[in-house]
Amino acid sequence: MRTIRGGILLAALLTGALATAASAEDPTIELKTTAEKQLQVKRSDGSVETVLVPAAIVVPGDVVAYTIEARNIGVENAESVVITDPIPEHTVYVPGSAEGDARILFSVDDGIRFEAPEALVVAAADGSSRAAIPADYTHIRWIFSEPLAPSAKRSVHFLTELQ
Amino acid sequence: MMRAAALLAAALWLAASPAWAAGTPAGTAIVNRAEVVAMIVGSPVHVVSLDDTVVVQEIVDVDVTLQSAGNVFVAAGGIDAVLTFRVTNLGNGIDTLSLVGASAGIAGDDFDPTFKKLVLDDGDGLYEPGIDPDYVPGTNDPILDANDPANDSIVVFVLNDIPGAALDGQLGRSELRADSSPGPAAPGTTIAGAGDGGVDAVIGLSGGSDTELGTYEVSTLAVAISKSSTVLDSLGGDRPEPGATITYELVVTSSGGSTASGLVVTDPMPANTSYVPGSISLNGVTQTDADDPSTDGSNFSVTNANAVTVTLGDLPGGSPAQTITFQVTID
Repeated sequence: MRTIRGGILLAALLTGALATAASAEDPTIELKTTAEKQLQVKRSDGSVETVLVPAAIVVPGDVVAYTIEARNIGVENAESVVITDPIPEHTVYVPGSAEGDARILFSVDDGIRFEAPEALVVAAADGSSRAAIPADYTHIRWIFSEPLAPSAKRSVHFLTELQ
Repeated sequence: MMRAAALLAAALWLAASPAWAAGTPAGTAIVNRAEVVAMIVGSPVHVVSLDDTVVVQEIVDVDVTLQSAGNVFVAAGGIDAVLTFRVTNLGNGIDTLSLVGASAGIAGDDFDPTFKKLVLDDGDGLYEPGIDPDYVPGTNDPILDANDPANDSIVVFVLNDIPGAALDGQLGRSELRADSSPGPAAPGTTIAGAGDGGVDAVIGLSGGSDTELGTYEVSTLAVAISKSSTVLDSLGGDRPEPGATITYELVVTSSGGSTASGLVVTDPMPANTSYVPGSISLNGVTQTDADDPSTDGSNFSVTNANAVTVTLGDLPGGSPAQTITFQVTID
C-alpha cells in the first residue's frame, strides 16, 4: 500500500517537472540557420551552374549563403514576425542577395536603426555623411506582414563574401 | 525563381572583382546567429538560433616579382651580378617557402649566366655581401605570415656570374621560383589538415608556386679621349716659338650599351704656356671662363687651379663625339 502511494506521488512529480521544462523551453517558434558555400560547376555541355554545397571548406573570396528558417511549433498564430541577423564578422553582404517574402531592411549602426538600402547613410569623422555601401551593413531584418500559422515555416536567405 | 536570379547576380558581381589578396586569417570562426521576435496571443516571443559556425581554411598562394626595373646591366666576366626579387605570401596563413634559383636553358636569351646562389635580404632591401645570409634550403626557408604586413614578404637576391665571352648587348636570363610548403598543386586542390592549426589547406590561383624571370644585359661601356694640338706662330707658320699660339683639341667618345654619367674633363696648362682668356669652346660653342653652371659647365682655373674644366654630364654609349678646344700662348 505504501509502495503504491509512493508510485503515484512520483508520477505526479514527474508530470509537474515535464510541464515546467516544457513551458521554459518551448518558445513556440523554432529558428535554424544554415551556412552553405556557393560553387560554380561546369557541366559536361559547357554551361556553368551555381550550386550550393555544405560550407565545410571555406577560404577568403568564397561566397557563403545563409538560410534562416523559422517554424511555428506552437498551436497559435505568430503575429508580427521579425527575423534579424547580424552579418557575420569577416564577411561582406553581397548586394541584392537578401530574399524572403517580407520587407527587408538593413542597419549600418550595429542594429540600432534599420532602413531600406537607399535611405542608409554613414557618418564620417569630419561630420559629413555618405550613402552606405554593402560593406557598411551590420544587420539584415525581415519584417513579415502575414502571420505564421501553426506548423508553417518561412525561410529567408542572404549571401556574404568571406574577406 | 527569385532566389536563382539573385545567385546569378552575385556570381556576376564576383567575376568582376579582382583576385583576393590576404584575407580572413586561416582558422578564424565565422559565426552566424539569427533571432526572431513575434507576438503570440498578445505576448512577445523572442527566440535566438544556435550559433552556426564556419571555420576559415588556409588558402595557399605565393607570388614572386622582379624588383629590378628593366634589364640589369653587367660587364662580361662579371662576378656575383645581382637580380632582386620579392617573394610574397598572398594566402591567409603562415607558409614556409622553399626557393629555387636557375639560369640554365631559359628560352629567349643569348647566353646562360652561371647561377651562384640565393641570398636573403636582412630587411633593408639592399644586397650587402657578407651581411645578408646565403639561402640554405631546409635550413633558413623564409616563413611568411600573410596576416602580418611587416612579415608577409621577403626580398631575395639571385647571384650569377656572367661569362667572359658574352658580347655587348647580349641578354642572359635567370629565374627565381618559390614553392609553398603544401607544395605546388592544381588551384582548388584541398589538402586535409595541412593548413595552420590543422585546418585544411586549399591551393590558390598561383597553384602554390610562382616563378619570375630577370634579365642581365651585357654592356661594354668605354669612354675614350684623344688630344691633338695645332701651332700658329706670329709669321703664320707652325713654329713653336715664344708668342706662338697652340690650339688644343680634345675629342671625347662613349661606346657600349649603357651611359657614362657625370663626365667631367680637366686639362691642366702645360708648363711655360699661358691660357688665352675666353678660348674654351664645346662642339663649336664658345664657353665662358667663369664658374657659371647656369650658362655653361666650363671654367678656367676655378674648379681646378690653372686648368680647363668642362662638364659633359651623361653620355650614352654611341653618342656623337664631344669636341673641346682651347688655346694657350707660349711664354
